[in-house]
Amino acid sequence: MVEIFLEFVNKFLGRAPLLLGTVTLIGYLLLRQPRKAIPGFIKAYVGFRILQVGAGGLVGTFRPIIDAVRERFGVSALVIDPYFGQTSATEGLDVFGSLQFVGYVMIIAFAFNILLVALRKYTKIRALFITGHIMYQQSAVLLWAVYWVIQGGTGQPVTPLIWIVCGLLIGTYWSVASNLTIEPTQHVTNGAGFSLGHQQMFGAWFAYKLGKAVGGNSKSVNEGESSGLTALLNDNIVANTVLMTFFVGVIMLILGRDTFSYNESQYYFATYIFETTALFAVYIAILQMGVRMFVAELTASFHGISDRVLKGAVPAVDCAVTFGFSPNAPSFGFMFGFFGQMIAIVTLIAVGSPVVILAGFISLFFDNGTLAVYANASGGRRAAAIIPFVSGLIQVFGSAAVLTVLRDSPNIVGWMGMFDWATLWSGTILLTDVLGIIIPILLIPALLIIPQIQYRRQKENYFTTMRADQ
Amino acid sequence: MKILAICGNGMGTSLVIKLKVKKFLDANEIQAQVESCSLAEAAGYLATGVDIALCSQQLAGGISAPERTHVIGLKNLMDENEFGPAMLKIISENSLA
Repeated sequence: MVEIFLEFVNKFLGRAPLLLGTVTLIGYLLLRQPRKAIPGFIKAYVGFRILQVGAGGLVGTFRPIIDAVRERFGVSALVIDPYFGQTSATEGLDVFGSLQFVGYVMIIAFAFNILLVALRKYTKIRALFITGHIMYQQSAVLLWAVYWVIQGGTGQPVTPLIWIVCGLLIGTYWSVASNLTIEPTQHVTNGAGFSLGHQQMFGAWFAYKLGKAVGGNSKSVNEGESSGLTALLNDNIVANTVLMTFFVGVIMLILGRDTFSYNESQYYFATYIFETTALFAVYIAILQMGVRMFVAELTASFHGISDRVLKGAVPAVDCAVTFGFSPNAPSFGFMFGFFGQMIAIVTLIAVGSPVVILAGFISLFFDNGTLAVYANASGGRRAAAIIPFVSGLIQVFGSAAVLTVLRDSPNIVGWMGMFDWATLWSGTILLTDVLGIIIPILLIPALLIIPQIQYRRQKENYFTTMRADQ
Repeated sequence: MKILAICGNGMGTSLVIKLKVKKFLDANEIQAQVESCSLAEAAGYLATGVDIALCSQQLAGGISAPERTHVIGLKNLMDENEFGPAMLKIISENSLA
């Protein structure tokens, strides 16, 4: 009996695509939509396999370049972008037969978020995270990083202690951090009734709180003509290709044409560089298509669950939803964040850091763009320039720091690089590397204190800022 | 009737719009097929004959839609009080439902 169960765990629950398909199937059955259950299962399964094709392509394209750089200069050149972080995580965990635990982490985290909101009388948590692709990314990256610094040398699969702690911890983060941004988001959006469920909630909160002091009463970025840059940057196939051609192209030029074995009758070195770097946009597009397919199914069930069981919870959604309320801020944040990142990258090279960072588009635009939206709301254009600039420095230095302990993980191509991941999570992983699993365990109660402090500061209207249809 | 929600990546935002629009249409008992996609894919979707396309105001200007498609640029993507009346107006004026 035990053997049959273990075999089932191995051959079914141990296969990540089957596991996520099954979660979707159960979700639809719970929502009493049985007709969508089987199509949902298939789409989640196929979507996940597409995602794996994209991730494999990204690693296959980029690893030879990373290896060549490391061999020649002794440094690791890694990208800070959520899709590169996610790929490092899933392709790394897969080597140790542990990819399916990402699904466990995500389920535990979502369930814990629901529980914390259900017990809001005591926990003071009002927000529910429903941004499916972010939930998957963060579950994967946290599990991989904690696993690698604790168990990395053993080659064994992830232990239950680690995936349970990671699940509870990331669920706590979703709850606490998105709860923290409810009031700033209400201000930014004139009371639209949602919160931020993304990768820089603490960053957005800091940007909002420090905005006043940094910006004084400078004019809003939205007074004045739109540059049109925001619309251009929103098309991320073009932006990704341009950025990757620039950064990776420079590296390929430095390595020189002899490093690469390509058919010289087919390419000039210049077109070879472009066609290689454009592959990043290709694989990221494939990866996103896969994520979109399986996340569309998951998000629909998350949405259903939140509407059904948690009336009145504030939904925490993608940062891009805030961009409409502050149309010029995102491109402003992108530009100043870009300056910050460039200065930081040059500094890393100058001081001979073992890890060199390549800027990724999503951290530059969506992360610093979001910080600019929140900084502008409280401090105007001066805040929307200075805060993303400083954030650009932090993103690079914080990510480089955590990558010093992760860079030997198999198939690594980068790290998340978004604000919270270059600060809170970079620090957590570095401390865990030294002190072990006790750090992620202690972080759970430590984070849960934050909503209690918030509640104490504004008892009268704390729960009335929740959605009106409560 | 075909409705399309568009955002930059086609990952989070357009999906949320799609779910909101579906809920709104169900409540108003209007039959429609609702899809979501990224800006890069929008041209392909629009070519298949979309009646109403929803996106943020910033993106609205950059979408070259065929004549039959009515593009609605939104400030608050989450608010059915914003997209709802705009959609109902287009639907009744063009007798789409």
